[in-house]
Amino acid sequence: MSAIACEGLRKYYRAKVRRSFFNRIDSVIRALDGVSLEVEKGVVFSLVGPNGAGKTTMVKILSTLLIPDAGWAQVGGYDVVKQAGRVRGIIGLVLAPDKGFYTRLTGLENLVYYGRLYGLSKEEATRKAKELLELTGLGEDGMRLFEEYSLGMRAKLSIAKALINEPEIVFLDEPTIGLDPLSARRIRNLIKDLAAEGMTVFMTSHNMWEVENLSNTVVVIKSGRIVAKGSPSELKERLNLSYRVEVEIIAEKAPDTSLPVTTGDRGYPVVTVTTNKPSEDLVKVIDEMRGKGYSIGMVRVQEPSLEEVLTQVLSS
Amino acid sequence: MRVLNQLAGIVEAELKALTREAGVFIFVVFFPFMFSLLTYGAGQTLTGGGASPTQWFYQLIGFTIMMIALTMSSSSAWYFRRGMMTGRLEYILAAPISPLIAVLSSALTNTIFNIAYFIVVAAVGVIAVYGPYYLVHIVGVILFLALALLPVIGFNLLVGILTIFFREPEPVSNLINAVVSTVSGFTYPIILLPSFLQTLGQIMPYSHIVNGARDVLAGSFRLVQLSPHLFLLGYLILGLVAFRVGEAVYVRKSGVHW
Repeated sequence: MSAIACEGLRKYYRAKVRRSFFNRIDSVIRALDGVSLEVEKGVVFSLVGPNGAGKTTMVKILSTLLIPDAGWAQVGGYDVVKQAGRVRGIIGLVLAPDKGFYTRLTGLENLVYYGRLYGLSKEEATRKAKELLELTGLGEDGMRLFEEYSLGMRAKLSIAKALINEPEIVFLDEPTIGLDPLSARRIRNLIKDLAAEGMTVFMTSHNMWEVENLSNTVVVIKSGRIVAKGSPSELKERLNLSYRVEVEIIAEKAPDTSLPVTTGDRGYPVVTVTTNKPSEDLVKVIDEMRGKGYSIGMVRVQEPSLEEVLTQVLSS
Repeated sequence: MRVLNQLAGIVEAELKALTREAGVFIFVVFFPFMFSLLTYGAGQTLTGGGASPTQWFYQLIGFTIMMIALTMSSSSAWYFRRGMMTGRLEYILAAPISPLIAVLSSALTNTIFNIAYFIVVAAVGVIAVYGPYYLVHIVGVILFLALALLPVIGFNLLVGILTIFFREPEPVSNLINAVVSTVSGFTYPIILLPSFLQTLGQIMPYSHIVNGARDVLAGSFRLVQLSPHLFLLGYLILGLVAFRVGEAVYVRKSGVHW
């Protein structure tokens, strides 16, 4: 049984657009337009796409906050509409990393509050909250008021909040947005650890490097429809994106070759080839340069990034 | 047990958050003293020093209950509004807790806070006007308010659910508060009002609360005065029903999973 499954999910928002004081027209925004997907247990699943693509709507439907107009969705085997109470008991949720807390309560008190919303006794909630403060690296900062927290600390507390009920599945909507590199790395490591312990992580992010490094499966969504799906490497292969091969030559002047030559960071000429067969072409370039008597300083093969995949998918 | 844990968790968090807002508490404590002394001073001037301290006490308790009535009538509305602004509401809705339990817990917190506030103000008034011996009546007024404020929770639920539709608490709470302040006899006897406003004042709980509180503190309360409060409990039932109906309509119309 998959952790999350949905089929034909549709959600339209109706809004009134004011054209003048007396003239308003109805407008329909297609947030989700027939989305079907399946997420295996214990994986990190990422939903990516431009702003307004329907990512947050998807998270809100799966976390039982919104009712779809059509289609069905199951989380942990429970229907998100008919068995919302069951779903709520087995999920954790982060919608905005810096929101949802009492500013005049400490981090610990906020976590205890959320623990008690899930029906835990005060003792249980306090014990669990202290564990999570340690896990997220907040430790003694848990005794400080939330209003004194930096954005990174708030994000960590959000993750701790999402874990207070020991969920099977966590939904993280842009969990590292606005964080400094160190805080973002801590959150990413935490996500990796959660998945390693068997938890299913469903996340959205605009940081493609993060998505590429964390995710087992990536789904690209555009205007409420899925436009690409697969593991990061599958997506790259499927789109047949090119690698960039760079060979630095230890020489004063550019070598005599028909291949493109640029100047590298160290001031030496760099022969650059864009190719779909990086290994073969790398050997060819090295052989050619050695044949002409040049010494090789450094070689580099750059894999296409997920950002390039996303750019290509969304612009096609 | 689960519901009790949820209720206790919200009450504890809300009470802690409230008590750490010192400015709010200082304001609500000073408000009735400030205005009752102002009206008492005006009375002294107009009557050439003929206003008695019991008339100041009348005003003091009136202004205090007015503050309680106004804050309690719209506390759920503000609970929802703050929840929407801070993102807490979505997390509550995504947790396995009934929104009714959440809002009732918040109303209960408000009741506890307001009774504590009343005790502080009333104690000063009782000592100043009747002497320390009358402080024993504070126990009676706590019991009285615990019963008499229940119908206000019904009003509270009604305003709260309307806020979900209007998204802003002010349009509803300001209207209700304006009517309540006028017809409830907080600072003048309602017999001074036109008869239809007197009737409106009588069918709402507030005039009974303020008169009862004054009488309990002055030691002139009779048990028969409790009878209207039992009927007024109907507002609590009305509020609960309105909240449930409002929830169902909201879910159907908005597509938000309540």
